[in-house]
Amino acid sequence: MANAKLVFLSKDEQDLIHESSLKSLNDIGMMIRSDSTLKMLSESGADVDFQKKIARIPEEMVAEALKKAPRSIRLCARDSKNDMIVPTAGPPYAATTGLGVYVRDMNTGEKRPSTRKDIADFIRLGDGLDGVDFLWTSITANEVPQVTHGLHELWTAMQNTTKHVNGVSVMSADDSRKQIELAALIAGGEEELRKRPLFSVICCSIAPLSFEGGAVEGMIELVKGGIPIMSMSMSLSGGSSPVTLAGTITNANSENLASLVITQFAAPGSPHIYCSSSAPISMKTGMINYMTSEQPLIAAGLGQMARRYGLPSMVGDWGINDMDTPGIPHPFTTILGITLSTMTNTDLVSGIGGIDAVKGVAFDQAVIEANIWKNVRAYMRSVAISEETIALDVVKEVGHGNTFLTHPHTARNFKKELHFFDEKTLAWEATLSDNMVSEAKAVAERILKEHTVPRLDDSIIRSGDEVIAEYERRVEA
Amino acid sequence: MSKGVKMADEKKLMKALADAILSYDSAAAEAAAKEAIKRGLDPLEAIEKGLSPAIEEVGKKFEKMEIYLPELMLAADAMRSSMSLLLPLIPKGKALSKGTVVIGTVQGDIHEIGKNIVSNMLMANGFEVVDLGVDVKTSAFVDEARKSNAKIIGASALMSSTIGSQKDIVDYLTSMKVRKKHAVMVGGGPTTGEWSKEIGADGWGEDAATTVKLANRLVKRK
Repeated sequence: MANAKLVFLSKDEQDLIHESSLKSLNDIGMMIRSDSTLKMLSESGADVDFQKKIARIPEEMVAEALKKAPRSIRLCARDSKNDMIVPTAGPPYAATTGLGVYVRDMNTGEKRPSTRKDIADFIRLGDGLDGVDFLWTSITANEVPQVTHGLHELWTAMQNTTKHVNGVSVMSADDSRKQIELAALIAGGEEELRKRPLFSVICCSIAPLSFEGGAVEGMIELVKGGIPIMSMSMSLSGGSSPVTLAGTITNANSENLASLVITQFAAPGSPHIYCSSSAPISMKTGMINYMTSEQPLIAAGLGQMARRYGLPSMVGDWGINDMDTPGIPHPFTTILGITLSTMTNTDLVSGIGGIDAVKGVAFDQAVIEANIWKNVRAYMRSVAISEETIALDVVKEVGHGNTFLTHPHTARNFKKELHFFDEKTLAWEATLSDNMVSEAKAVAERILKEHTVPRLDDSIIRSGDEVIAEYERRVEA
Repeated sequence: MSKGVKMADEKKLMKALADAILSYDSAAAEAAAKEAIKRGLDPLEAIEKGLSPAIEEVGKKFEKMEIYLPELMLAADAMRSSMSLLLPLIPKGKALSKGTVVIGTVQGDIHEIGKNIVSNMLMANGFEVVDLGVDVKTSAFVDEARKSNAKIIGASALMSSTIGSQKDIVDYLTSMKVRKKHAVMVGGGPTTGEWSKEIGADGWGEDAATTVKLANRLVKRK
């Protein structure tokens, strides 16, 4: 099968980035604000300075971790038809945006702090959209205690989709334990959940080269329970990593290898996905700037590194709409950015439905982007290259100078081989914000009205609610 | 004019201070300040006539996008190098600071790049800045603000999961009955103007430049 991929690094350049990452981990090391994690690494062969909380990780540990990591991961869903196996040969699987703090009302344009009701609606909309393959928990539950917001978000999301759920919050080992308990209620026990992980979690390092204590301990608890994690590095050129693309790629690669060492020594063979959401900072404001020509190149470099290691990856993402109203404010940069950043060997991507540079979500924006994605992924579909598809026999039959239009081979194959753009969304592109937003709003309203997700048993919902309530009582006490 | 310093010398010393800022050179700024002190230049004048116009010029260039954050930050660093030598020599009561800002990244959050940019910019714009670092407890913000009589508390949060701590600061000030003594500015990735209003903060800094403007407004407020 042929697949279009953005190739950025040569083999030699990949080697240099790999070797430099090893050097970075061995010489500079990782700052890890967790004594238990430092102790585990020390016992496994790392050179640890407990005072400074720095672990210097030798090359052998990285090689060992790479050997232990699984090469194929099944990200499961409540409905197994929606399972995703990564790495994928075809286009990446796409998810919604996250983690925003507000929702934009489609009717009034009002921006208000998001609640569990909004999460439920936004997730159910994603469940009903073809362009959405899995769901990030996407928005914060602002009305619940801060310490359990992630649990509420996960629990609400899992009740409202039969697709795979990707959590974006991990605060502590306790928090992770509760996440596992919640999902186990749906899976039918923790062993069943281990076999069919219904959710995965993004666990961030903090660039440059550090880990927050709760996050890293939470990551370890998750992988011990068999929950896949995405070790997200946010290496921001000029901010949290060198301003050079090579320096940014190397930093993100180093952090991913460090995360991999931690997961594979804590739980050998546990599902680990190489992950980055890296881009330059704006040299004007200091804020992360996804709308640059560098972002897809960084993603492409990292996608190549993940493939080199044989690890599944989530390195392409888009935060396309930096305005707080739905639409495509910068058509050229936006579409090119989405296309190139997802054509990067990445197996998973995210970003659908975000506005205001990921601070908020809008339902109509989700419809617009799911449609853009359906068109963009056509460029990444798998194309068979074989004697049969080369079709010399057909050429011989048609003969010199004649047409293929009337040959049965064309009628038999054109729908399989050619992508048909949806006329309606092509029209949206012509009108950009005017018809696009109103028609997308109508689609969102229809899905929210008509699309249902099978309800979990009441007893499961009650048990889940009690898991969270009990945790809240314990933390408050 | 400073006592005992010839006009020509004074001009030269002032120019050295300004040039150091305009060429983003911390070492030169430190050397120029040392030289100014050695030659008996009045430290207050050195700041007001030498350094301040230069950093203002840098600010204007930034506004016009003739320069970007890296140059701006280096200019602020240079400014700090000079100021740290000159400020202690200014008698109390003649303080020229616009006011004190206690700044930090909230509890549970260890991101600091944005906070550091704001901290530097405030300092470069004439504020006294007490930077508490990262993962700062709510009570620590308030305790320090009371101790240093800060007009403003600046709370940064980068994660959707930690911005709640900004509300805690406002609530804590209220419960301590000192809400009106310290204005609260919030900023960071997931924050918005709406969020600032909702939690009862005094303003939202979208980026470093707007935060400085906000701080200027807040210190003028009675």
